[in-house]
Amino acid sequence: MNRTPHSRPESEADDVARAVAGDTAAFERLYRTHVPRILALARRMAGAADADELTQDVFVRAWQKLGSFRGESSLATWLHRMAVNVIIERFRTLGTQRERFIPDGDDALGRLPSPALAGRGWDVGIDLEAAVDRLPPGARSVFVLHDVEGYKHEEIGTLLGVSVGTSKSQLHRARMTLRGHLTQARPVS
Amino acid sequence: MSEHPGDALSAYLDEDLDPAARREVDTHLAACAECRAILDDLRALAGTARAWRDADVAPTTDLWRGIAARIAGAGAPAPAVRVLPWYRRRVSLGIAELAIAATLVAAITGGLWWRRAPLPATTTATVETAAPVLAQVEPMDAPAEGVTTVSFADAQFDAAVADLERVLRQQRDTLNPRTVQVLERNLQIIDDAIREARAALDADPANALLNTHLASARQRKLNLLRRAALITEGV
Repeated sequence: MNRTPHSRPESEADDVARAVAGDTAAFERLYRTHVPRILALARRMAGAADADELTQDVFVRAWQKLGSFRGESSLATWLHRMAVNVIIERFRTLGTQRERFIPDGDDALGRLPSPALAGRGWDVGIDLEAAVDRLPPGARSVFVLHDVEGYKHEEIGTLLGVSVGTSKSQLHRARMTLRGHLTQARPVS
Repeated sequence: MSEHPGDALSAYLDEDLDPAARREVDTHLAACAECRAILDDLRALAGTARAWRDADVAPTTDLWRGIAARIAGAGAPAPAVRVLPWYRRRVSLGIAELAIAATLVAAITGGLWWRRAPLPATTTATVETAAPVLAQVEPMDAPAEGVTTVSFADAQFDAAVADLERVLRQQRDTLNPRTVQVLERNLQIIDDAIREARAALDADPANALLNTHLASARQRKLNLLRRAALITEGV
């Protein structure tokens, strides 16, 4: 295929600069590149029902804030951080403070006698997504941010407004609850 | 057999225990098959979670249309900081901060006089011609010529400098004479640099390098005055 200078793919930095100047076509290209990852993050943190709307919120916020993007991190990292903030803000707005976390001592499911799950071939993103959907929002956020997205407990504590100790204990309860859900969902053959 | 480790089992998995606590869990695991099974499960869960991160999701509906409608909004996108050319970039100078510092100093002490000669009367008039160096925030869709400046103007800059100089004049005798000497010498150097830059800009107003140089000198002056004012606050 012949390529003219005009058909040459623009770099992401070019598109950022154009979008900052108000070019929505450039911003759409950025959106197309990054939406799969942001949508996946929204689904993990908030569930499939709210993921589309949250993803739109993230990109609207990105449009508004793109002028503050200095290129000190990758755009993907910048968008990811923004998405986490937008999603957590939504939790707060929706008043999901109640029953956010798993009460102390409620890891009985994890104590059910069961054979180890290890090596049983979970379907990534299917079994786990269904199990995560059953977690309270706060515990879900801790689990997703720590175990999936790789955040530190200190960062999670700051984002969620909880102590590091709470983040650690909720992570353990979330893991144990997930283990219980996954064990029940997958009877041993 | 010791008690089940509870939360410490996750911390063990994450290698987030101190050596003594880790040894305790090791001892327990050696004797507890149930906890070993749980640990295996948690390890498998962690591996699955990490893999989940790479499972991107393609939209099943066209989300862009909704985004496009929202960013188009009612005709004007939300304001954002415009990325200015390098020679026009300026860091906010914290006028409110300066004003607070000056007010605090004035409130705490007073009645003394700093005998430094006032700046030449031509200073303010000349500064007002050096607008391009200021930081600006403008609507993203605004034409470049129609920039709406919402940051401080030169007159405000000069007012802040004048306030701080007034405070320092009042507090001069409360400062160590050596400090005053160093301060005056540095202010003189900066004033000379500002004066030279302005003179050069009179001849070449569009020179980006000169604009940057002037901006830098004025920033240094404000910073120095601010630090000096804060020193007097602590007297």
